[in-house]
Amino acid sequence: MLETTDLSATLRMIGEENLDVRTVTLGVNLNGCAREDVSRMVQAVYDRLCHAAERVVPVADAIGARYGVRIVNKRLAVSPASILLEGHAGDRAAAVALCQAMDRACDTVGIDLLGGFSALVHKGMTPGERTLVDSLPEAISTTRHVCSSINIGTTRAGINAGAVAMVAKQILAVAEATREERGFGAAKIVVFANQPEDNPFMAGAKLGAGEPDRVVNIGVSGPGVVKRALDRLFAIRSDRTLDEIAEEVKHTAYRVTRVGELIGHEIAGELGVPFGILDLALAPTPRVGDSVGEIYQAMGIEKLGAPGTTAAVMLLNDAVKKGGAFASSAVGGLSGAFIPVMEDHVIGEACTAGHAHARKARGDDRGLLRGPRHVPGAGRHLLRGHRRHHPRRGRHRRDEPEDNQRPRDSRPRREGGRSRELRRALRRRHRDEPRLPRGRRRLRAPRRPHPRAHPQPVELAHPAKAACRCPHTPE
Amino acid sequence: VVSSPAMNSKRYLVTTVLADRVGIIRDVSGALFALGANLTDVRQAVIGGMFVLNAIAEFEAPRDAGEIRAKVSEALAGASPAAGISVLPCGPAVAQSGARTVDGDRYVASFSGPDRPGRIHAIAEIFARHGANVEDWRHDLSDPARTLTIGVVTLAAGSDPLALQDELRDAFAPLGLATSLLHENIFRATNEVGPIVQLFGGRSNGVSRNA
Repeated sequence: MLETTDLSATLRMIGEENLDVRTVTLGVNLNGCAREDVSRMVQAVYDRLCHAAERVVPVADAIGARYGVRIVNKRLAVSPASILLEGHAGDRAAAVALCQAMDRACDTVGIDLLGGFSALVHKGMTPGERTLVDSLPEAISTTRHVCSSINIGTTRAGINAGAVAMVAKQILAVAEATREERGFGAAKIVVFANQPEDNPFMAGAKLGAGEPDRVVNIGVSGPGVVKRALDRLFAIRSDRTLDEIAEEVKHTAYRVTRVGELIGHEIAGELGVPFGILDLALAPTPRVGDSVGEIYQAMGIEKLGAPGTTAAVMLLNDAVKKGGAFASSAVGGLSGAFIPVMEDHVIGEACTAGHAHARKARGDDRGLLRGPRHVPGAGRHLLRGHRRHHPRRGRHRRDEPEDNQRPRDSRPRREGGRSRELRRALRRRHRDEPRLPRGRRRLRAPRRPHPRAHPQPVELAHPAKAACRCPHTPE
Repeated sequence: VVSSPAMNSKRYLVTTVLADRVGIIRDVSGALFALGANLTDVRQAVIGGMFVLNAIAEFEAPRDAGEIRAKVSEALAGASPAAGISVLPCGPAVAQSGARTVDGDRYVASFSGPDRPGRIHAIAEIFARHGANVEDWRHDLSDPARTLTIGVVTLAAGSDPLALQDELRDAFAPLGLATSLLHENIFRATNEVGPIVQLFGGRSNGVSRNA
């Protein structure tokens, strides 16, 4: 029999600390709906989605009520729609009709969002994928529930720069097409490097290669639970070590993850589909008490951006992932901690006050699976997947410190503390010797600050004034 | 000393109630052992300073309840002369460990708010009306402004937990009580270490990923 303290802890977590299941996402394989005739394909997709997802909402509601846990969103993730368009290359109307059929199906079964109007173009683009990308402005602006994602890079393949340019133009076009909604259409598109196959969160959800025909994936959150746990820890004794903080976070992450695991197994069992993965993401909302920034403050970082912020981010993320991994049979997706500026009132205030800025957020991101997002005017290098190029090995760096060549030269980088090879090249240049081959020229280029690398804090929208409706983080 | 029916049985429930002190279990178990009893289940609780001991004593041959009561009373007489002792024969049906009065899922009901007389009766009244069998009951008065009552109940298969949830909320919200009725598994999931499928009796949902 459970102890009263255990019962009370769970009741407190559910009743007072905003623990919820952010999303139940049913993955549905649509590849069997491919038809030569567009209207038949569209009808097949609609029928398939309605049939596969007809019980998702009532089952999720009933199980949520049984356990007293709010299931905030019920979603669908379909196999990449570009596959269905391979037989209809260049037919933009077919892509739009497909997207609209998905949207109608969501209305019919009461689904909040659908992800998977997607294309994987990291190594190249097929005709169907190009058709999908071309159709984005019209498809996204004429639908409410459908989200799109484009994978433009992987660690192995690098970044498809041509696709980046193409998608960037389309995002602008989508924003323009939804001007009356303040460009909200662009918020329903996400561009990935290393897109997970089993991510339940929008807008990047899709049923990736290797997934079953149908599968239930769960996304849980709960920054309020972690914050309150740390508050209680410090209330008992204030001089806590980092180990003790990490232990508390791990323990709490375990409990939060177990809730998602339980709900996921129950829903999968009721629907008669396999349970896929559980994604534990500490995702904040602009509400007070549901903030990742408050967790860092509870750890002792008075103002976000102060020395120690990055350590706190790393500690939190590490402990969350360890606690979650032990609690679940299959942790997947993008598990980690979000640090979005516009969705977290504490981080937003820190940016507004000038304590933190986008470059700092990027630095914090180095240990995370999820990066800083929704940073207006944040400049380049926002994506985690954008790797710095390794000058000597001819490939992208992977999680290497940026000063990994420092041991060859003890001088600071600004004083020329680079590799011996580079220093020699620079010396030769000064002596008017022949220039390096073309591929090496850019190494000599002086480091110029990017015109938008230092966003002014005043440009950042305060979350309280501009509550983000972006579906990247489910509310 | 509470009297019990004078009858012979091989299995008895021996209940002892007395002011808490060191050595009560030693005295009671010693008396029963002297009679040749084997204790197959023992539960104890201390409520308001009073020690309550329940023990199932099994004998090889039928024993008289009065004899057992007298022996236990004699063992406790020195240190606890005012002990309450009850010896009740229990049949094999109720004596089986793990047997449940109602078959169904367990739920944990919680009630939090200011204490007032009649609260537990009102809760129990609603439980009984819905056929919910109370298996465990905790009442924590440590914070008078926020008294916590927790009941572990079993709802018969086929009964509607949501209807009970609604009735509890409607009945106690006007009294300032926050109520909840949650499936036991959510508490076990967050407090026990082990695979989640154990909560479903060790079975997975049985759906192959290789359809």
